[in-house]
This record gives sequence, C-alpha cells and structure tokens, in this order.
Amino acid sequence: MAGVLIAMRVAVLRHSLRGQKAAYTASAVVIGLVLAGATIYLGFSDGTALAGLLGLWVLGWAIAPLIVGGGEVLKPENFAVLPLTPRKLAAGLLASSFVGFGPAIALVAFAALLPYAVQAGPETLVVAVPAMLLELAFVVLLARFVNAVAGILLRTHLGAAIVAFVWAGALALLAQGWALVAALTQRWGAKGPAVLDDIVGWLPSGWPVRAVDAAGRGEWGLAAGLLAAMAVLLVVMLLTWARMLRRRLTVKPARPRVHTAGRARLGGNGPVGAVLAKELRGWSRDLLRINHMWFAIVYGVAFCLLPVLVGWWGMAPYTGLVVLVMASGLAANVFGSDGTALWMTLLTPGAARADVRGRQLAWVAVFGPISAVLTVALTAVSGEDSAWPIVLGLLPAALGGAAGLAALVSVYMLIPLTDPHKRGANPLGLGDNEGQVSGLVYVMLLGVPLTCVPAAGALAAGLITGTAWLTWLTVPVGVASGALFSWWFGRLAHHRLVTHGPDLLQAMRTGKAASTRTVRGEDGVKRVLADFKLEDLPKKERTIVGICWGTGWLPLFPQGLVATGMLLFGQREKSWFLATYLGDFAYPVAIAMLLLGLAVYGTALYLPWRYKKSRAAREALGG
Amino acid sequence: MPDALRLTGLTKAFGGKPAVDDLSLTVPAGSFYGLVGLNGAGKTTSLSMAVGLLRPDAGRAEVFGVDVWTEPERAKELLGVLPDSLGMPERLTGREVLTYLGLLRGLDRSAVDARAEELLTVLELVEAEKTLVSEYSTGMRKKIGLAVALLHAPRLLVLDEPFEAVDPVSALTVRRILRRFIDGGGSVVMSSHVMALVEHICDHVAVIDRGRVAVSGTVGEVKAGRGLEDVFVDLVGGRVEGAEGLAWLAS
Repeated sequence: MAGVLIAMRVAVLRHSLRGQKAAYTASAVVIGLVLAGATIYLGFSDGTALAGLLGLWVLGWAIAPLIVGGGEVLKPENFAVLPLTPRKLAAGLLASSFVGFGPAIALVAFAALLPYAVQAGPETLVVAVPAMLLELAFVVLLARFVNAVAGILLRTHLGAAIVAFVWAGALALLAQGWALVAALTQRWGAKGPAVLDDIVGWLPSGWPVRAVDAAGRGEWGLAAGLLAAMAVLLVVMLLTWARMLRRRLTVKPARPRVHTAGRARLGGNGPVGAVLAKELRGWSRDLLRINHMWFAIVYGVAFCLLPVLVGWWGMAPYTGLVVLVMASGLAANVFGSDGTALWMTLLTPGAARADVRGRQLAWVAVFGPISAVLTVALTAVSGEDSAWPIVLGLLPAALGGAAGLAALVSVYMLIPLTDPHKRGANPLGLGDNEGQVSGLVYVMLLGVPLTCVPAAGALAAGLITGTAWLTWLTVPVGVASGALFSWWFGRLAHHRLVTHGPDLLQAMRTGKAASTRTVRGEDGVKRVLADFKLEDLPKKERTIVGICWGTGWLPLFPQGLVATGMLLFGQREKSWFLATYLGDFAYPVAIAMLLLGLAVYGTALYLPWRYKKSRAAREALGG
Repeated sequence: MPDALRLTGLTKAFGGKPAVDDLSLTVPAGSFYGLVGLNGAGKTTSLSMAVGLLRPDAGRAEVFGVDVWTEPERAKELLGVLPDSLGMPERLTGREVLTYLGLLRGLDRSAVDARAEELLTVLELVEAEKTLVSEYSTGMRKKIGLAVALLHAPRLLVLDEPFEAVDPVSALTVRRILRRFIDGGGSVVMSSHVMALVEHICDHVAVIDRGRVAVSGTVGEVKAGRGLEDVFVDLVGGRVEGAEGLAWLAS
C-alpha cells in the first residue's frame, strides 16, 4: 500500500515539475540547502545552538501550510472507496509524504546531529542516527497534522481567527524574538536567556540533542527514554491524524451559516456598488479571507508591540501601516483566488472597470478603518508625539497606494489557483501554484513603500529643515498620492482586464499563465494574439530552462555581485561567500561566479529563442 | 436578418495539439441548434471562442453580424452564456448572484429584483434562498447558471451541456423555457451528449469530430431517415466497444 502511494506521489511530482514550477522549485531547493548548510555549520559544535536551530526547523514545518501552501499531492478523498482502515491510509499517506525536496532538505539539516554526536563520542551515533530519522518523521507528520487541524478550524469564523492568531503570532515572534530575549535578560540577567534555552531544549524538537548529550555522558537509559518518547509522540500524532482523516472522509462539513435575515437583498447601486456589495459579503463570509484579515491584524500588532516588552514604544505608531502592507500582500491575488468566476465580468459589457473599482473600494472599506483605529489609538498610547505627522501622512498614502498596487498586481501578476468550488474538503489546498502566493507579500513589501515616496519626501524636507508646516504637508501630499496611485494603478488594471481578460481566464482554467503578444495591424488597431508558451518547448529543454531560471541568481547576485562588492570594500571576513575563502583567487572566483550566473540566465533565454526560431522556420516551410 | 452566430475558420491548439481545427458553422436566426460530439471533440473549446472567453489562434466569430473579438461590448449585449464548470461568486446566495449580475449589467434595481424573483421561482431555486452557491449541487449550479444567462434578455443563448446533472422535472422546465425563448424570437446553441434530447428539441444539428464540423444542417437532413445516434456513430467512426474482454467481471 505505502509503496503504491509513494510511486503515485513520485509520478505526480515528476509531472508537475515543468516550466515556471521547475524554476520555483529549483529556487526553493537552493535556499533550503543553504539554510541546511548553515544549520550544520552553526550547530554541529554547540548543543544549545543546535537545539535552537532544530526548533526553528520544526517551527518552519509547522507553518509550512501557510508559507508554501497546504495542498496535498495525494488527496485522501481519492482513496476513500478503497477497503482501507483510516490508520492504514494515514500511515500510507505519511510514508508517501517523505518523497519530495522538503524532507530531503530537512534530512540534510538534521544531519547536523551526526558531527555533533561524533564530538560527544563516536558511540553516541547509535543514538544520533535514529534521533535524526525520528526528527524527520516528526516534522513531516507535523506538517500534515497542522494542515488537518487548520482544515477543521477553517470551517468556522472563530476557527479561522484562531489559525490566524497562531500563525501570525509565530511569524511575528520569529521576526521580533529578540525583544523577548532582551526582556528576559532585563528581568533576570543572563539567567533569563538561559531559561529560554532550557525551554527550547526540552521541546520535542530538542529531544534528539538531549538524547545525544545523555549518551555522551553515558546515561544510556535517558537517551533511550527520549528516543522512545519521540516514537510515542509520533504514534499518538499519527493516530490522531487518522481520526481527523476519517472524519474528513465520512462527515460532510456543516454548511457555513449565512446571515441573511429574511430575504436581505444584496445592497449597492450600479455596477461598482454591486461589486462592492459582493466583495463585502466575501469579507464577512469567506473563511479564507477572514483568516487573512485576522492574520494581517495579529501580525501587525504583534510585530510592532513585542518591543514594548523592553519598554520601547517606538514601533507602536506604525502598527496600522504594517497591517496595511501585510493585508495588501494577502489581497494581491484577488482575481486568482476567485478563479474562473471571472467569466461573468468578461461577458458583461463595461464590467471590468466596475470589478476592479468595487474590489478596491471594498478593500479600503475593510482595512481603512482597522488601520486608522490602530494608528490613532497606538500613537496616542505610545506617547510618541513626533510620530503624528509621519503616520497621518503615510497612512493615506499607503492605503491608496496599496489599494492601487494590489489591483495592479492581481491582474498583471495573476497566480492561478484551484477554483473555490473545486477545493473540496481541504480549504488550504489552492493547487500547484499556491507557494507563489506568499511571494506577493514581498512584492507589496517593496511596492507599497515606493508609493509613499512623495509623502516621505515632504516629511524628509520638513524634518531636515525643521519646518513644522512642511512636516505637516506630509498629510495632504499623502492623501493626494494615495488617491492618485489607487486611481492610476486601478485604471491600468481594468484596461488590462479588458485587453487580456480571456488569457487570464485561460490561465485560471489550466493553471498555467497564458502568454500573449500585442501587434498593431495594418488598420492601426492593436490586437492581442496568443503567443509562444514555455509549455510548447520539448520536455527536456523546458526542465533545463526552469532550473536555470531558478538557480541563476545564486552565482550572479550573492556569490558574484555581492561578493565583488564586499571585496571592493575590503570586506574579507570568511562568511558564506565563497570568494572570501580564497585569498588571492577571490576576485577571479567572484567574477567567474558573475559570468556563470549570466551564462545560466543566458541559457534560459537562448533555448526558447532557438526553439521559436526553428519553429518559425518549420512553419514557413510547411506553409 | 444576419445569422445568429457565424463561426469562420476557428482554430485553437493547446501545447502543439490542435483542439479546434479550421471550424466553420452558421447558426440561422431563430434556430435551436444542437452540437454533438465525442469527449474531447472540441465542443467546449469552440463555444468558448465563439462567445469571447477563449482567444482563437485564427478565425472569426460573429453574433448577429457583430464580431465578438473586435466589438466585444456590442456582441456581449446580445449574448447569454452558460459555460461548462466555470466558477461563480461562490459566497453569494442564488438570489444575490442574480442581483449582483443584474446591477453589473446596469439594469435598474426594480427590474433586477423582479426578474430574479421570477427566475428563481420558475427554476425552483427559491427553496435554496439561504444556501450559498458553493453549497449548490451540480444540477442547481446548472440552473442558476441558466438564470444568469437569461437575466438580461439576450437574443442568442449559448449553452454548454445545459441538461447535464439536471433532474427530469427541471429538465422539462428548462426545455419549456428554451422553447418559449425561441418562439419569442430568440436563438439557442447548445452542446449535448444526449442524442435523443438533441433529436427531440433541436431543429438544427452539427456533429463535431476532431475539431471540425463533420456534418451540419437541419435535423431532418442530417438524419436522412435514420436515427441520429446511428448517423453519429458512423460519422465519428467510433467503434462501440464492450462486447469482448472484461471476462473477470462475471462473478
């Protein structure tokens, strides 16, 4: 049984590694291997550090359904009619979950236990090897387990909020954990962080380290006990997961209750009002959106208020801004997450404008008040009076900028996801491309501040010259730039929706971006035509191109450009830049890396170009 | 009067494989036109290109003489479409979907409310007043889709598998609605796998095979005195399997 499931998963992964997906996967694998290498480098000689790093890996796997998506390569529903007990099915699915790049990378990272054990005495490898494998099983099962729990919780409003609290809290803690450590130090001196180390060390993630330590001290009983405890934990989790699976496969989830008092009509007037009303319904009924809303709020509040633990209120006034940026990142794929329902807009004359504008308005209507209240309240509480002109100017700038940019990105960088009506019992299963969605947060993280440049300019001018009225000019400039960007970017978005709507729909139907080119015909009218697609390439070349796109940045940017820059500034401290280890050969190596990166990207461009040319030649011959 | 729908040389390939290959078809105004074909013959792809939801590699589609791809706004006023298995605004109830779409079309509030009420009643969707579309069964999705297509009183209906998964009573209702639509001057194009249905309710039929029109005309012409099913099987060169093999099925 497990063998068949493993073979199935291998087959599915092989089919899905194409084009863009291959590029994305290659990038992720490179990043993962770098992190795994760093874990071995930093952890193999220091037990406390290793336990902490293992804790981070476990935390990473626990929030993986959020970052890379909760999709399942093999859906349990597909095996529901087989005569299998839920336990057998769970065990089989778990076994198949070990196939993939993620577990392989985790195994590399957990291999840090082996050199650590060798230092404690080679005989402790007897403990380290099974501990390493148990840790791997633990994270793989944990990801499935968390996904199942989140899937159950995401069926109620409260559950969606709880999931958001846990995940957003964990992420904020990752970013601002220093504040917690500093607060403990403040309170108990050096003992404070030591207590934290102890706690981390005694979490299940740290048990392998503790077991190796125990074996090194000759306490073989304790070592064996810890391994046994891990095994028991795994069995308990597996059995619980099997129960959740059985529930999922046999009990139809209760209908989401809809608050339609009597025959409450959809409000709104005119096309834009209709979209606004529909979207507001979405923000109050779609549990994934509700989850996103709470996620943005909790993340922003936790991120900006954690430093208050050490008495620093400096970030508090900016809570509303952080919430806005996070919320816009989660809303930057609105058309992609609504899927093929786009056909209605495409078939309704003039609806593209209303669709974009209504969505922008709804987003502002939801997050405008939230961020305004957070900003005003927390700025007042913080006592940071100098922050008033800053936040009151940047808030409207960011609100408008984000509303515009989110619309623009939703159309221009649309990520096709599984249609809502085809997601089945796993509300987090968004399809092959779900991992890319979290990348949009970074796009907005870079983009929204750019839309705030005019307001920031006025602010800087005021602060530098020390002129109060110039500083307060930030507010009208922010309001104006916010209005301008939301209008302008929204306009670009709905124009694109008119010209490229069918291609976006096709992308969502097939899960693959459709490529087009615009040509001006003899009559002077611009036409959009279907164009060459990466999918047209032969399979081998397609895979090569994908891997090239995914890995080229590594030699080009960090190992090439950044390393050259560091050398130029005399920075030769040995770090993970290869060139810094090579003394006299530093420059040649950094430049070679640069050239290698260019060659890799060149290959990625050349192969499709060559294919296009040869195809055009064939077509010309064939008529 | 121009033809209700005229497709000329429509072509579409996916990943180098032709799905629709130089397909031409004329649907006269006032006709009830049936498209039949095997799975994967290109029916849905053709209809998607005909209504402006899928960009053709080559060819034209005109609705009452208006080109769908160069004058989409005018063409789409005339069209009512039921696509196959596409999404809907899942977080709205059936009534809300109709209200939303009516307002999006620029109809005024009172007209939208009156039409939505009538459509829901006729299609027996009033009972599901508080159910979100995401909770609808396949048949209910078809019915609300049909209501969406009818809402703005189009002149041409393009329906992809309108009877699939619809219960027998509702199917009779839908047939009656479509009949009245034709009698009132409308035109209908629909795809279907059910030969008997097409034979009964359509006046014109086209057989699509491997992305081309194998034969088209009035139902009488195409049948030429035989059953539509026999003509179809002969045309598409299908071998009806199932008589041999599968010995292990006998208990």
